[in-house]
Amino acid sequence: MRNTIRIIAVVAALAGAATYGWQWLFPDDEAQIHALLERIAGGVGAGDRDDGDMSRLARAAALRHDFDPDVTIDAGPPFEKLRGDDAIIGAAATVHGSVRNLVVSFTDVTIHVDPAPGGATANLTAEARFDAAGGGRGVEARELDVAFRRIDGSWVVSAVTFVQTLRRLDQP
Amino acid sequence: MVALAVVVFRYVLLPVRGVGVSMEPTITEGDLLFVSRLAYRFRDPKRGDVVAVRIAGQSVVLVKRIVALPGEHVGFRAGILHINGAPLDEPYVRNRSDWDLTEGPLGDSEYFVVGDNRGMAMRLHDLGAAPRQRLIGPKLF
Repeated sequence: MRNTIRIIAVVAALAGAATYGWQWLFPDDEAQIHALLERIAGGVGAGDRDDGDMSRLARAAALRHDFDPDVTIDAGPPFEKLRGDDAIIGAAATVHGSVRNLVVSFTDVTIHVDPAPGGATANLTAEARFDAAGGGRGVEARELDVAFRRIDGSWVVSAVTFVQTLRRLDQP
Repeated sequence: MVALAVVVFRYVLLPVRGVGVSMEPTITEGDLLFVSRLAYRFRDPKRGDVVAVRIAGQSVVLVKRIVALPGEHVGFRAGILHINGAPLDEPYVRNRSDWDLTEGPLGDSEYFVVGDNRGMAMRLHDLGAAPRQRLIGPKLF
């Protein structure tokens, strides 16, 4: 009886390890999109106060690989709408130069991969924490719809749309 | 014990850590509060409730106060909240600046939520009409 339990435990552990290993070696679409979002969060974050300008520019430039060249971003007020990966990199570099200790994270991520290959969408909360001008930490959180498409085998962001949590009274 | 905690925090209470200043002095930076996930299954949200408002999910939420109910007209005149044209007494507001917001109607299932700290600039403050389905529940303690 004891041997049977041991065998079952070993088989279960091996199956778990094999599943984990398979997913690590061959991540599915959702895992790839999660990884993409984590990479973008790290790239948009402004890093430590002591980061050099070159380091910040390099991190901003690396974002180019994660966006469609024709990407459109509407993150809602007060941010301007952006179009194209050059605009994204420029905006990230500007943020890195002006906002200190910016930490960006994406939470409550729900991903839907289209049945037709090459497309996916996600709904998520984007949260930014940063050193506020008046001291202390500032925080900004908003809901976004994100569209992805696959280019040369890799997922990239093709559109970001702001979802309003609270309706302003002057809007329908 | 662990299973009980999982059940309580998944289905009964939502723990929320206060971040930011928009609800001062009622809630200050770092405060830990607990929101009822069940209350609004048994009653409607009411004026004065401090509520958690869902964003995309429930990991990050807005904490605001309900000041106007479905169908009411709400706005600010020189920093004073007006409901259906009449000023509302708000003893929980300590800091006030001259916010102006043209009065407008709420929809059938919309609640107007705003923070208690009216001393900050209005453009820096999240306020507006929240649909009922975004209200997770009221703060219990």
